[in-house]
Amino acid sequence: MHRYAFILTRPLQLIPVLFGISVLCFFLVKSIPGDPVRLLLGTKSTPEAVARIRAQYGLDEPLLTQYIYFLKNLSAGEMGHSLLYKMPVLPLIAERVVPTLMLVVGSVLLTLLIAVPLASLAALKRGTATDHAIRGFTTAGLGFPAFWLGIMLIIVFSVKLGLFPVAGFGESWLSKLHHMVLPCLTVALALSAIVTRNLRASMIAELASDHATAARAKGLPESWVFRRHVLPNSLIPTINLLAINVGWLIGGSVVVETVFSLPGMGQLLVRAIFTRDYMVVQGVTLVFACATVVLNFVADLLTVAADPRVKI
Amino acid sequence: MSLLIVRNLSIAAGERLLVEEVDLDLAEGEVLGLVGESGSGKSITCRALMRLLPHDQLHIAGGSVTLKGRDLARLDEAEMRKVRGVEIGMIFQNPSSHLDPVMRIGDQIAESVRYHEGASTKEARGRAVELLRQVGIPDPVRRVSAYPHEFSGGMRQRAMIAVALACRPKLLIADEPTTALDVTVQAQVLRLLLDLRDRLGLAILLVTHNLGVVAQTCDSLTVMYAGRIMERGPKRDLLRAPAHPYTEALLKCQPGSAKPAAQLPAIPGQPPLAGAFPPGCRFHPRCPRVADICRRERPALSPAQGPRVAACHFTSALRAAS
Ligand SMILES: Nc1ncnc2c1ncn2[C@@H]1O[C@H](COP(=O)(O)OP(=O)(O)OP(=O)(O)O)[C@@H](O)[C@H]1O
Ligand SMILES: [Mg+2]
Repeated sequence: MHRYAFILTRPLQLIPVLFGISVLCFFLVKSIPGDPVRLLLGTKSTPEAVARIRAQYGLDEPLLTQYIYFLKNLSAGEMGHSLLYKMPVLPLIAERVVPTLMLVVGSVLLTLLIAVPLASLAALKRGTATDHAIRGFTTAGLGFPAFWLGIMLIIVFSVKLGLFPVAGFGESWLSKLHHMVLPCLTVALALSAIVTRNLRASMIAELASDHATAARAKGLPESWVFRRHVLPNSLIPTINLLAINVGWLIGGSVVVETVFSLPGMGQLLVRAIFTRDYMVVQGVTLVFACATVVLNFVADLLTVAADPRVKI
Repeated sequence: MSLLIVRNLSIAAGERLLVEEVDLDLAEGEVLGLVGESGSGKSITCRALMRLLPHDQLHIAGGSVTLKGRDLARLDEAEMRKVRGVEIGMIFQNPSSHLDPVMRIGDQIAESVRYHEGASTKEARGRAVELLRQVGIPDPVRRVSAYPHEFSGGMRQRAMIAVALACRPKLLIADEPTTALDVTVQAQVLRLLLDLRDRLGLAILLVTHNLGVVAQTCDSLTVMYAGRIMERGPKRDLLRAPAHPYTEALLKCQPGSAKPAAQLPAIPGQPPLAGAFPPGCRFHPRCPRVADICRRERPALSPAQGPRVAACHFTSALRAAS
């Protein structure tokens, strides 16, 4: 079978996965304690009003019926109504996708921009002061929590230097990008610490590998050997490391979005959980789950492209 | 004139000497066999010739390597790069691990041509196809874009030879080029090397622990044991009448030398671990002719017969007996 054939077969395999995700989402939300209708109407609401709202949203039906409604609506692109925002969930999420997407993509790009040069430098100058300094950086990056890093960046770059906005999200694309720099940097600093460490280790192994020696025996300079042989080989394990961490990042976007008041999906999810906004929690969880699935697909695609030995 | 002259080469890991006082001479078009049991220091000797020892672990502790009258130790790194690949081609012991798994075979052959000769991608690719044809890979135009894992062991070994020949070196160092291969492929690869020697006038340093391979291919022979040379001379003389008990023992262990159905003889005991070599003659714990003097004094390499030298106290006695 062709190495890229999984591009066609993978969507078929996704159907049961998505089904499982929908079941989990639905019942997880149902198992959250607390009554959403009471929360919506306040503690002084009359029992009649509560019953009316329950009926309106189908909350008085048996769970299985509710789930079937849920699936039916889902297949029509209908994710229900938000109790809090009084609007359909899908457009609500659509509004929030852009900041989160920019945060994820920007963080990954910035991570690579930081980690690849640092890891290369550390591996090539192993045991020197440079290597120790870079190790210090990665230890710090792993040690400090993201919210603290974010606040520090705000204090230095926004408050003191006035280079970037303190919080929020812009109107024009340029302004949006400008607003994204510090949040992405916050994530990238933490993420690049992990990636730098792993990349450095695999680079050191590749530098000592037989095929690197064979390349040197061709009379190629060290820079050539590094660029053409060491780097491509050591980046392969990094693809999966990044994929795992980005999956974690999507779920963890809420911290950074809160620190920088970014109107993203993480924020939406947290507010929805606190207000028992069932439909929104369901919707966002579904989108996060699908994003993770897509992410794995992209990671597989990259791995197949980078490593001719891999068959999926 | 000799193409390669190695004198007194010693290699050490820290304080421990792994290889001591190795001399090698190789003329143009000559095939020199370097034989010895596993761990005798053949591979690190080869890498030392190219100045490719893992420098944080091993270093050249003494001696000189002269190629076409130039002392390689005096060259700086940039000059040395023009020797590697261009003047000396190297075939490594294990082709599977010495080929980059994620680079196309053709690119691995072509990259030294591109670097050293500044050839365009297209020219270099053309050379790669030509080389693959020369080393006997069928359908080279298609195979040039294959990856190493798509090749069989024998084809990888051929590809490795093509890599080593890319910039038309005059000297080929072949570290056990046939050990990983089955007997028929082994014979093909050896024939290929000899054919290349005849057509291109290559000198070949052929490392092996198989005396059968030596008998088929080499002109002269150097026998190493525990990091030292035991015997050196023309192949014919060495194989017919070994002057050193170690060479003799190696010969007896070759399949085919024993009578059919008889148990294959082996040299008793194990070779010593590197750096823990016994005093006196290094072979004495396993030598059938061991005497007191062997435990005390290390025998020097001394003329045994004609151009042959051997490091044994009883060389002359051996000869007298035979
Ligand atoms: N990087 C290294 N650091 C320390 N010792 C080493 C290193 N590489 C090789 N040695 C030691 O040097 C000795 C010679 O090794 P070498 O690989 O040259 O043997 P060889 O004759 O090629 O054996 P084989 O037939 O198995 O290939 C061995 O005892 C080995 O343990
Ligand atoms: Mg070896």
